[in-house]
Amino acid sequence: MTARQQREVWATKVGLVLALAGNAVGLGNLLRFPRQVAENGGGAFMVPYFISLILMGIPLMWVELAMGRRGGVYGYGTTPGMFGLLWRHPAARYVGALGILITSALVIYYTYIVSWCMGYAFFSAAGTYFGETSQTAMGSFFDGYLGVEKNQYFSGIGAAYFFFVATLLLVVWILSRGVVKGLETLARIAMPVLFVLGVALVARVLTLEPNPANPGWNVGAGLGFIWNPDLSRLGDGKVWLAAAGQIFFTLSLGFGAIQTYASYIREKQDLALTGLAAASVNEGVEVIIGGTLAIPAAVVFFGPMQTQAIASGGSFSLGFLSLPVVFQQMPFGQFFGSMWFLLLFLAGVTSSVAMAQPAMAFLQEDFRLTRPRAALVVGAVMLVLIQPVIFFQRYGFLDEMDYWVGTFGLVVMALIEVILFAWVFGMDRAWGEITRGAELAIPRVFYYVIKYVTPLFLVVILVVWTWQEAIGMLLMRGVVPEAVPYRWGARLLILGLFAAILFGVHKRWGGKPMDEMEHPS
Amino acid sequence: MNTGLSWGGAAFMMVSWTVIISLISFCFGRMLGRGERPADRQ
Repeated sequence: MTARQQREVWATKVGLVLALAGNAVGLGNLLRFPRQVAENGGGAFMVPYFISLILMGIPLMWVELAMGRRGGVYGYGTTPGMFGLLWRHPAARYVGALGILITSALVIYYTYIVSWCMGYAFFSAAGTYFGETSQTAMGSFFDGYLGVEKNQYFSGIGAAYFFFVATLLLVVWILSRGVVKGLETLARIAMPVLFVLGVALVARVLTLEPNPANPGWNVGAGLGFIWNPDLSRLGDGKVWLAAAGQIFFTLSLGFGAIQTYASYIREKQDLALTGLAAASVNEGVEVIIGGTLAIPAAVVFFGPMQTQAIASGGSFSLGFLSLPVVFQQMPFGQFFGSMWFLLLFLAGVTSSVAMAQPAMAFLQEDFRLTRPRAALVVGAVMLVLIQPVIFFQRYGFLDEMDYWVGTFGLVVMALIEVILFAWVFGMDRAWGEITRGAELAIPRVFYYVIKYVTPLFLVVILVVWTWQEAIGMLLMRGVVPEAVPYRWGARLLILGLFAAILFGVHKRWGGKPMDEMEHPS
Repeated sequence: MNTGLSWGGAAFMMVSWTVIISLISFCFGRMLGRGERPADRQ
């Protein structure tokens, strides 16, 4: 029996596209994108955004899909095995461990954030926070929920813990059901529901009455706040970097999750159209739904000046502090509030399971664990490692993890994989992998884009981010002294997790000649 | 500070929406069997 026959494959093409789109669509589509547009030139932001999508986003999506499908053919669902197929050097497998590290570290705190959405969907439906009509009051509610302070609503971390465990159990249950019954079924249910919720909320925002106290605060002003172009910003390099960064995050590139999903694609099944379709669906949720909800609604109720401050306050401030105030002033606010947080929850949970799947594949394929047992191990590790994130959040534990694995690590991983694929494996063979079975004639220009432009794009992002942010983060500039030990703790957690994965890779492949990788079964 | 949606803003918004909706329609149209496939021509 070949490795391919032993592995699961996606049951339907639409299911695969929805699963890939579900992986890409996340909280960033609905909270990060509108802030980025508003802060970086409005409509003008879309020029570098679409250029980045064409020159970096879609090519990288094809690269990751092709790499993953090729891995699956040889029975490998994770990047250590896949990198070994591209670069016939023993170090390749250890470099590939980065793909498991990023997804495994990300899924821990991302699932915690997703659980907040479940909690807030419940609080909205129950009207728990109704009466807290200022951002300051909602900030206090949020801090109480997270256990940062005790107040009239929360006396401890219990509620946050409850919703985290509920979300974790859901994720583990979906993972334990496998690729078709678990991941694909979730995508086929959650994505259409997400679209319906998103369109319904868009319709609600577009029909909002102007603010009675300030008639100038209306939907038109809200859309203008996001879309009115400041073309002079196109000459600003930061705007181009922001657009490239947004494309990177929104398509979930550099994670290692797309490769694992692609490893369950049949050997001669199309990748070109599948990748483009998944990216398009993600863009639809981001630009059409994400660009029409949070910021325009905030402008109607807070006005452009205060919305500017809200936007610069961060995604969580927009989603968990400002919008709950907006919903309270809306007819049927409890209903629309719970819809908003359910939308966020669905966007998040489809990404959570995708991030957990590489660890599942690693445990199933390399340690021969059964699927339910692998799901239990993943759940147990998440439950243990989330503890410091929950209890030390006020000291920036989550922020530290998010920067190194969820921001910087992604660009490093993407650069490594595109170099291995286009240069080490060879662009001719790489092009053959991407176009095999294609139901879409990819223009030949993308051969050169993948070989030259995409790596160059990534090098520029990596160099600038290192110069602008990474050095300061590494040296903990601006970090209050009492938070320093906790931030070191976050780094040690990442390093410890990496060491454990490297040990696993070594145990599986250490000392074995590269030739064995071609004959896994 | 913005006071309303300008013609330029509306243009950027509508072009962005149109590009994305066209892409989604194209991809799902192809996937669900409509339109010519490169493989059919070979």
